[in-house]
Amino acid sequence: MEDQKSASDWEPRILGFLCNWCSYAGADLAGVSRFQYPPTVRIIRVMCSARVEPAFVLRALRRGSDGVLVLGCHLGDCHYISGNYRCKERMEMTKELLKIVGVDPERLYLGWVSAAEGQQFARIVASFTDQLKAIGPVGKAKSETPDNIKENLAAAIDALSSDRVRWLIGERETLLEGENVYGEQMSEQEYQKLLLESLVDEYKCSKVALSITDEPLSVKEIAGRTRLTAREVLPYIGLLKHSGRAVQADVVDRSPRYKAVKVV
Amino acid sequence: MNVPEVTEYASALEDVVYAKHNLYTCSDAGLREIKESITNERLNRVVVASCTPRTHERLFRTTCEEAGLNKFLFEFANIRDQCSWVHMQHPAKATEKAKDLVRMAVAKSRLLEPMEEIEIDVAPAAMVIGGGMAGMSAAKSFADMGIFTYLIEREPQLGGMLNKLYALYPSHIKASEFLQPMRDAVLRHPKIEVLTSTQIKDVHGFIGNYDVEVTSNESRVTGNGSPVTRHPSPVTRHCKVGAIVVATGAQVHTPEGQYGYNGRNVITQLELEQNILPGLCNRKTQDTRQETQEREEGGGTKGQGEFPLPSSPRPPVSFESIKNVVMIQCVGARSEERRYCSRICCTQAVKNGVLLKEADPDIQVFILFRDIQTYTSGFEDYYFGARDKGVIFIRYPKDRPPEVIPGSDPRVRGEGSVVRVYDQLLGVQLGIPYDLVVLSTPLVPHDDAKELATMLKVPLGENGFFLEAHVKLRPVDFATDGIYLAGCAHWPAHVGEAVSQGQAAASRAAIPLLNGRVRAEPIVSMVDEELCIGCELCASLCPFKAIQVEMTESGRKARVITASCKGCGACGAACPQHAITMGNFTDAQIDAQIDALVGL
Repeated sequence: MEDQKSASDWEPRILGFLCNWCSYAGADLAGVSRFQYPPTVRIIRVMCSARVEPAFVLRALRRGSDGVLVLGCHLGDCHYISGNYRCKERMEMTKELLKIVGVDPERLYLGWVSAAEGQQFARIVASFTDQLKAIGPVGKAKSETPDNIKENLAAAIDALSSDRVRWLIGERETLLEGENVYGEQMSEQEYQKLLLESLVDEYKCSKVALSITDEPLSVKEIAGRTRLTAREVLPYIGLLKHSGRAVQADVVDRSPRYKAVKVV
Repeated sequence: MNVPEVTEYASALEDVVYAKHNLYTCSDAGLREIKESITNERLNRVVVASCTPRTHERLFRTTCEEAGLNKFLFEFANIRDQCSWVHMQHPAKATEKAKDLVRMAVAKSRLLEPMEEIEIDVAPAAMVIGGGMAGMSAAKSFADMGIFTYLIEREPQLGGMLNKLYALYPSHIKASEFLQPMRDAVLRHPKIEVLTSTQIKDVHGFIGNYDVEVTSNESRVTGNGSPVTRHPSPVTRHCKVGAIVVATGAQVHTPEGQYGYNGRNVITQLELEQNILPGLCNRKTQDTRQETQEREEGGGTKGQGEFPLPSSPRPPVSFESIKNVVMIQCVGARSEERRYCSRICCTQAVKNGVLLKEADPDIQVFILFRDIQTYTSGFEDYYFGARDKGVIFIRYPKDRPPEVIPGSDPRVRGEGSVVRVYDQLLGVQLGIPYDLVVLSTPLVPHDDAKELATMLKVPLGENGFFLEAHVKLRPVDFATDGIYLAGCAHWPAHVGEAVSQGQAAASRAAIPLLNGRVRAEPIVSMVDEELCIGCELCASLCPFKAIQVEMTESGRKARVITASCKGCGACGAACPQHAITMGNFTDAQIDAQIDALVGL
């Protein structure tokens, strides 16, 4: 009973990214029209929802937001023609990444609010607040494991800043609509598969790199920290060494220990 | 909300040296106080916590500038629209939220950088795309202001929809008579080059510096009236203009498969005006039927976007035989397939009903409607006038639309042909014999509106019409600077509205054109050339073609054309090198806002 009571008192902290032209104007309209909604959301104005990098979402969750609201113009009504489509693709990918990381993807809400939809904005904040109340703070959702979540998010942020992932995100249209040099075209399914594989790969690699930031560790120790198998860890060590992001620090008990190198 | 508490909180934040609570910060007194404190406290950042940047950012930025502070060192916290007005039942929580918003704004303001507005030269010429009433009135307004104007029309004739209409409401002036003086004025104007039978092929550039590629099948001498030289093959030209007005109009929806539409005795309002009214309304003076028929067959102007005449010869019903006319409103509009109201069809039906009655009081006219919306001053009387003249209005419910039941031989007058309709007000089912059914169909966007929108890099709304920058504050502007909007390309409009929108668009566009220079906000992409690897990913993502990759001394580098960049940030969010960031919305600034929400 005690638990239930405190759970219902708990209020989520939501960070909202709203595009200047539609959603921010919609939020203003909610104000002008005095549509009431829960005081749970703090808004960051961006010019277009396409400005919202997936890393912003993860950063917010890592820094203690319980949910992130990303709102843009309705599809087809973007003031930057196609920005909200870019946003949609990126946020869908972010949800996939949250699953990989072990964070409930329901913590990210992507929606469309026009400048005329003050009521809709108020409704979205209210329902997202309720949704987050049901989920609880980061780490407390059923699908979430509380330990390691912040480290995992940090690794995911790193993964997102990798060349490979950013390339795949940026080149989506070219890949899907154009042909490669062999005259082959990629299907949406193939693209999603490739993107997901790359995300998982980069994420694991970043986890390995992060685990050896503060102290040198052996492969076995890294496997313990990252909850990967030693067999998984080894190729990433090779990769990190090869790209200059890690070096062999020393050898302890005949096991080489590795240490991350800060790349400037 | 407890504002003094928020003020006190703000004054204790790191780096904040001065915090003041005003009743009206945007009043003269408030602005003066900001200026004085900038000077007295030697402030290098200003945060105002009040209303919304969408309406007041410009004012406070100007205030900062007047006090000698770069205006981009200003930041807003919106604690009115996002706090006091929406959390009225939770003053304590609203106060806490206001503190958060102020803290986030202060965090961002720390990282703000001084920036300069961008100045761009403007080519002193305009282009109007579309030679209907809206386009002609825009072109004439430009020209009368002394601005050289290209008027582009893809049909061989200027006039657009007015070439097809018979008469205009509420005065019943013949469309052709109304059109003639305007067309002559445009064709004879020394500042207007009229390009008919001309297509837009490509658009490059940005406000002040557009390069529009067109192909023309004919040309004429500017200011010399109508003589036209036809080219054996299309001629490509490049027009350099500073601003563009989109006035491409719309087309009438053809209701194939609805209500037995056949283009013969079940027709659209436009077909009524083209094929029946000219003959019917003039038969007492002269029989112009023959003439009308010839004009239609010899027209040869049935280009895309015009009402498509039936491919098989379907001669219109003989107008002598017309005794019962049933008009059905909202055909293909305000329904699941097309949710909007086309606005002009009610008054058009009223007008055509009156014209039929005036031509022959024995003709019975029934208008079956869901709602009659004869908006605009005076038009309500026009509607009642139609009722006085004997036009019968019958309301049908949306879920029980009328049925058109053709007789055994529809070519024989009245042979069992009947429209069945449920009269919502009487609560009974009626059967109305008809000789002619006229369907009021909505205006719909041109099939190639999307193509033009893509070339101009302007948006279409959910119904496929061109979308203005702001429904109330910028009704004839696009969000893209230098491109403006008028007439039915935007939304169904009657002639008076098309003319006023054309004039409005021209006067909006004249502001940069006559100033000769424009200033643009530097909320644009910035490329760190040291990090850039010239991969072109940003260039391919940019919806405005505002990034070009150029060869420099240090290799291939992305260059932002700042005048074209609208600052959406789509490029920066994907750059694999993190080499792109946005003025006033940098990664570091947004990260600081995120972090400030909960502290570290």
